[in-house]
Amino acid sequence: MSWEDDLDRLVAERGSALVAYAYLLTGDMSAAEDLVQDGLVRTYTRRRPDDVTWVEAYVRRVILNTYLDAYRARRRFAAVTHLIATPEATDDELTAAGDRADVARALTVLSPRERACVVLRFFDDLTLPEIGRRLGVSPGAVKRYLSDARHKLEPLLGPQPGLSTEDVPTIARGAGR
Amino acid sequence: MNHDLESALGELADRAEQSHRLGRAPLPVARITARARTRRRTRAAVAIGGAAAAVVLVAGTAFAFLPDRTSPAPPAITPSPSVTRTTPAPSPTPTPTVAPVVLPVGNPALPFGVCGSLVTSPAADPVDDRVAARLAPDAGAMTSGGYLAVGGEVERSPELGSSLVLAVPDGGPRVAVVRDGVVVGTAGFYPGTYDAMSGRSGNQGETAWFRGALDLTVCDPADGGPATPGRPLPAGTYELRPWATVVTFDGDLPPELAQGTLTLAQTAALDGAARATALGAPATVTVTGEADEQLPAPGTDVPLDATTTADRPACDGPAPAAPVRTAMLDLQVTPQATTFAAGSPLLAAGTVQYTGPGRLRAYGYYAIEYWIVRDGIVVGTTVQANDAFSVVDLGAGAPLAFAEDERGLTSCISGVDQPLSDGNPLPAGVYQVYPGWIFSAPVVRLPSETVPLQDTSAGYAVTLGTPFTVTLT
Repeated sequence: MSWEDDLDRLVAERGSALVAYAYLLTGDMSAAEDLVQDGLVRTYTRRRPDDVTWVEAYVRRVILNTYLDAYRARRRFAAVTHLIATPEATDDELTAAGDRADVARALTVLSPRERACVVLRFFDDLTLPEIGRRLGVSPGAVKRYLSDARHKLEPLLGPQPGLSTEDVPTIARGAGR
Repeated sequence: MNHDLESALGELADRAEQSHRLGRAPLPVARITARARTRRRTRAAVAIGGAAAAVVLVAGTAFAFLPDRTSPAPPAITPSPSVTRTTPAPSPTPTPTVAPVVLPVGNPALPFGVCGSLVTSPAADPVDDRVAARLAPDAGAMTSGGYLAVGGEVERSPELGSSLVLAVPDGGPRVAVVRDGVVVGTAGFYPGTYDAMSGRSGNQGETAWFRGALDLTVCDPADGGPATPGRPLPAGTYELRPWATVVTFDGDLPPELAQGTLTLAQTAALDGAARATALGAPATVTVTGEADEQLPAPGTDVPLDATTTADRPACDGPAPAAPVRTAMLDLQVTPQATTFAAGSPLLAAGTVQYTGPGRLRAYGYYAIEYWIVRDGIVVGTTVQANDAFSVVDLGAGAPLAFAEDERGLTSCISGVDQPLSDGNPLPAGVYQVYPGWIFSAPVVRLPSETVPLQDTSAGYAVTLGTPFTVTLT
């Protein structure tokens, strides 16, 4: 099977699931679709045909990196420019009621990395070290993002004990050797 | 009110998947395929070109190491007292005598970067152009015995190294100070003996931006040759060449690196590790005057104030006390105009400068934020969900400047612990605007210890500048 066939099959079987994953990150359906397209292009620029399940996991990682890349790209040497996360819209149809609505709205106050950490922790069910590896940051930084997320989400959603992270030394403290 | 994030996110994803499948156009697989196909062709072309370039590079490198039989031998580089002695004019008091400065002799056997090496000598480790050491002086001239404010970093090249897994020096780049082709001074943000490494991986590796005041003094030659180490460099023009020893990995970042406690040697001994050298574009600085001794470094004699902390302004809360130098950070802001139309942005330039001893390291937002007060109550802010959590590592005497940026003065969302803009422009009126710089997890690194300045569970910290009045018309 060619890589084109492989891509066809992945989109047909798992395209909507990938869009849903991207939606958790962006909070906007159109942006999620764009993100998935970019992620697929980046993946299949390099990949040879492979098992769909494995490729889907890979595409999810590319989607995550592509999502965060947009923000990293703004950080430039000596360019101390403001980084503003684009206010993320919520899709009314998707978030009409209940927890879904509250959570979708609450997620919009998070920065991209905070939001990514929350998704990786509560949707992908990853450990702190694994989240750190996915994002390319230390477990201490993950702890910091989740702690910041907690401070922002709790006033909107109530107590979030799941966002209490274990006592992982931060980079800053670890640097105090 | 208590929401289970795990089930809510799962439900949200299920609904999104269903909504996409039933209510949206399918993903344009033909267009995606075409884009990927174009990129694959481009990559193939680049790969072929790269292979050809590699052949040329190998040939060129081999040639460079062969004895040059056609060119005359380069002139020997000899130490030369570089101080220009002038006859002092007669005066009632004797002029202090400045002893001559002796600069290191160039030694072709030394690898580039060490004291006394030649700028043309290869570094100890092969150069990897996927990583760049960068240096940006604030000025092109300085007085002998003084300090030069610079910024610097060691990071992956955005074009070449976005997916590179590596470890970079936790203390930032080293600087080779070059005169007449010889490294006569070595400088850096941290002492040269500090060799802890910091991991970077994926597209999202953390970045660290350094600011500091460099002393340009004569270094101690690695070959024990003659020199006057520690003396300020004499008048003249010097090249500042940033460089760093980095370690690249051919797989994932080893978990041992995540804690940030390994030395260079320990890092280089990990599986899949390869040492490399990162280089960067040189900058030029002109030293003027003569000095017998180096001035004390900025902040050296200042006691650490670890307790002064500004309260974080709250929406609908009282006007904050300001200015307050949290973490000994002095914020200065100059607005371009203080009267403008409601809905128009505020334009202001600003700097934040660490004023204490040692070095301050924190996760900083790369912008100045504002809290807007009317009748003594916080009614607005510019703070938005923000992702500028880069590491900043600041030394005294080197302000971190913020680009003049347009900031909309908007009302804020009440009832949240960390106030955020609601995006609605404030109406016409007279306001007090409080500038602040947001950061988190600040620590001061002293030679003897590292002092945390904030309980990291408390969210972000803020240092506040002097408020100014803005009239929105």
